[in-house]
Amino acid sequence: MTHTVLVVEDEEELREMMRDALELNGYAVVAAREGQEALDAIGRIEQLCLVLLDLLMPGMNGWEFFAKMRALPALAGVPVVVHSSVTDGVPEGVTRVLQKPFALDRLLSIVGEYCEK
Amino acid sequence: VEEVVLLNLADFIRNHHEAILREWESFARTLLPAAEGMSQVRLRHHADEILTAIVGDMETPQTEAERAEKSKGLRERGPLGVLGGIHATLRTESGFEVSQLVAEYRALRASVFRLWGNEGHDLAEAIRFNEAIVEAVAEAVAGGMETRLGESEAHFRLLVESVKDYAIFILDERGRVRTWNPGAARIKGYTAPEIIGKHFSVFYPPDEVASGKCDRELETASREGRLEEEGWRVRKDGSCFWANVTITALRKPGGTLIGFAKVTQDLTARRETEAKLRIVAAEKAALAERAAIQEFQERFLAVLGHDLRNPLASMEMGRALLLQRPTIAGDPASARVLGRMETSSRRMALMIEQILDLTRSRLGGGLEIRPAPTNLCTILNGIVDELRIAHPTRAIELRCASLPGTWDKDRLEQVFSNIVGNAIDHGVADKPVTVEASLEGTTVRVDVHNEAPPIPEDLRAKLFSPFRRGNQESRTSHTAGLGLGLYISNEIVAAHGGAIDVHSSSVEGTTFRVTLPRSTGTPPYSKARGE
Repeated sequence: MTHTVLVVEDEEELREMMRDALELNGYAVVAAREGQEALDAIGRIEQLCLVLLDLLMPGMNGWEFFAKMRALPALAGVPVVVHSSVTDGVPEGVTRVLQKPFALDRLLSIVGEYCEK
Repeated sequence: VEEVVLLNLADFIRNHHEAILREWESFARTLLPAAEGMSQVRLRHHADEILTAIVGDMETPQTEAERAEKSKGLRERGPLGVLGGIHATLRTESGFEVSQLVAEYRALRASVFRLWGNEGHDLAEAIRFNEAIVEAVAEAVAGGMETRLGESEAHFRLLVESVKDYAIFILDERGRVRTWNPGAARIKGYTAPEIIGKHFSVFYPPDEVASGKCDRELETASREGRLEEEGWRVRKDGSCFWANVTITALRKPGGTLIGFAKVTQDLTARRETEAKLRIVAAEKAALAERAAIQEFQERFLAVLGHDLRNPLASMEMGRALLLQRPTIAGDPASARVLGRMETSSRRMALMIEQILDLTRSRLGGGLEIRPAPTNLCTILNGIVDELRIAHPTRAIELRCASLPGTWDKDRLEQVFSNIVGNAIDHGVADKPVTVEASLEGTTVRVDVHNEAPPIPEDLRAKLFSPFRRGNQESRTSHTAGLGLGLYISNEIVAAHGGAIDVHSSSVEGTTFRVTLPRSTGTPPYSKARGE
């Protein structure tokens, strides 16, 4: 079964471009514009392989979302890659950090490490 | 008969001279505190002569009219008056009060009367003696008061003479200078002989004199008693000073105006200090404003740098996605356009990174580095290889043995990419760029050399300043940028504890020398890092 990537990004063009890039390369994508929307969606994703998380977002930010997600036992082991303009103050325990602007092949390479098509 | 009786009292005093003087001395000794510790001679000062003068006065024939004049103090001073005056002066200078002087004579009179009465004489005969005593008392009071007034005047004169910071002088009722003190001489430059008798308008600027200011000031002081103002005054040499001036009207007890006391203080130094303080305050305010503007600009750049990353990421990803499409990748024109978009994206990404590095170094107190064991030769090889691909027509020579050390690899790549890239961009095309790295003790040295016109002295001085490129240097397609590269390189090297030096001459070409300690003291960065 195709793995699903959760993309949490407030800026619409980038969020939809990431969705296109991943879907065109064979992955299933669920996209959310901020942390609360992502939390609401995350329980409905069956094969969640990776969360691509922005930090600076209106509503629930990336730090808060990460803390709440890690507190859920079922999701505690899901890898989280932060994609952000800031690399300082990244929450402890995230799997890795992908600094914006990132190249498509770099994104696909990282997603490929955690997700199956 | 009257003459005989009077002579009897005079004789009596003469006969009891010493006893009377002893009583005078005993009484004078009680007049404290002035009499404390006084010798017998000083306690009896003039008493002997006064007593003799009294006797002489008593023995001088005197008409009723003369007696009346004497009681009113209208008679010319005789020997007793002169002696009484001298005695009063000396006693006052020794610290006796006027009341004590009077008491001294009252005690003398009491002594004589008591001795005289003890021997059964008629007290009525003492009238002449009493009048003599009254004269001595009058002289005592007058002499004592004069001495006191003389002392006060002397003290006041001393005070005025000792004042150097104020011009204190008297004007007559028409404004002519009557007195002059050293302070006035110092402040205004005139000596006393030069200025006494002159009208005080010489101290005022000509236009103020012409406007009648001097007369107005005297009128105001006369009418209101006092006038105080600050204004310009003129010294003898014509120079001006800023003065505080007080003019006080002087009047006799009856109210007649006799002149003015004028006190002038030179406030030039204070005024200059105040002016300097105002300038300093204005400069500080301007500096603070400039700092605030600069901080705003840098924060603006920081926000801009962050926010530009999202659309840039989106554009770059879109370009890469298009290139994945077989129909587009197979079309040479489309592929060429997408290749140019990629170049532009990279340049924009580099500029954003430079802006963020600038704001980190300026707002965050220096660039952060994350040192780890690495090899400088490996870093240089990688950089030179990349630049050879990017500049296939240029010769880049690298001389480097293995140079292990602890540095931030990514940051040093940034430094040498910038410096070697600059050497290529600004070097003569047919001459090689050489990169030579060597170890010197605990320090490594990398010389990046090119053959190029020398860097002008004024540009060399600000080579490592941000935005140095400004309008002074032409921008070409391959040098276009923010002028931040060397600034950031310098910050990175400084964060490693190293330095960048530049030597540039028409004979030797230009060499950028980077020195780095092999081990940077900063502990490795512990946070997750960007990729």
